[in-house]
Amino acid sequence: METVQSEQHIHLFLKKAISSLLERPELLEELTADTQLSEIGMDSVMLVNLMVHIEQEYQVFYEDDELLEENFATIGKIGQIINDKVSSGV
Amino acid sequence: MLRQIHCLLDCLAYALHPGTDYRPLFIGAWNTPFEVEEDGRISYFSASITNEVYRTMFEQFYRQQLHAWYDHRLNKQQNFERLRRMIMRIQPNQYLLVQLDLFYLKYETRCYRKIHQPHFVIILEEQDQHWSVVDPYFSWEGRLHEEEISSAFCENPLGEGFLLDTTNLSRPDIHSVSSYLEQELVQGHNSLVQEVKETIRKFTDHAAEFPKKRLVRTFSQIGILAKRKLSYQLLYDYLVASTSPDNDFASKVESLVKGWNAFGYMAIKASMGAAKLEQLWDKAVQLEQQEEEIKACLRSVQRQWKEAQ
Repeated sequence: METVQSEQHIHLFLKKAISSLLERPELLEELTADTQLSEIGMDSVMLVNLMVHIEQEYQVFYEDDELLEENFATIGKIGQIINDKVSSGV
Repeated sequence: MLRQIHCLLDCLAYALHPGTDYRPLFIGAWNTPFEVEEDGRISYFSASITNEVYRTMFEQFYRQQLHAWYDHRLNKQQNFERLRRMIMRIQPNQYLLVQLDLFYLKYETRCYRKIHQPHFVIILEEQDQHWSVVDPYFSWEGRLHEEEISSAFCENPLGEGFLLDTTNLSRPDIHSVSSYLEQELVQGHNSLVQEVKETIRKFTDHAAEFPKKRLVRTFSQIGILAKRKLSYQLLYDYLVASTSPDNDFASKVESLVKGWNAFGYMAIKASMGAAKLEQLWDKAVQLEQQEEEIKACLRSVQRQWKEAQ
């Protein structure tokens, strides 16, 4: 139950951050866990910006191995990695 | 297995595979040329970077002409007409390689209508104004309307094209491969790292002239240049004549490529003030050491390979 709440919190955080970065408030409602972020205009600069927000919010750090485009493809995937990091404390 | 390394070499490898060993063709791809543009961007393409070195190497290895059909004396439209005539009479063993601008190609969503990048694909045939295209680099195959190809060809600020006939290819001889390896596998020198370090130094010492926000553009093509480093793995496999990859060497190469990718992300972070220039410098030094280890390992394998011949 705790994990589900945490996942919801993470997804909401990501939706807010992404809609803010893209300056498109309507995305807060439209984004799903499976929306391909590249298709809504998230480029590498925005992804790094998002990464910085994530690191600050959850006190986590991305290793070189994790900096792959596929790891930032959707909110679902990003959320899953954050969840793993928060759980393992890295 | 073909991987994203270098679009022209990947096209040639596709044409050679599976009958002929394409791996020697990637010798030196780890040192692929780059240019520093006026605004400081380290770029893998420019008008002064040609693929002549790869054409010469191909012809020497495979004893078959790689015909450069693109004529720089003609304008784009004339060259496109030339391409159209060639595709009409293409033979089954022939491969027509053409450089297009990814900005106009819908299948590459990362660049389509966003980024101008010259890129080689193979045109196989034409039917009812639709051209069959193979893009080995992006592992894509499909049919594109002539208009889409025409835009991507005619609007490309650069231009190049090759015709390859695979009917009478030779196997690369050991002396040629050895000679190219001697020339390209140079320890103690890393032109990309050298340029990256010089660039970081400029940003550090001349902050007013080189504001950090420019780091994004300066290093925007680092990821593409880093993919060329995967060529070390192909040559390693070729020299040890192995079909099963050595996991230790493979992981070193993977780590190097991922490290450069991380450098690119770190540069963006630095542009936002979320990382320091010192961290970028340290990363470059670390990557230099990693690549030296890879070269040393490959050099050792090369010596054993030579002795075994």
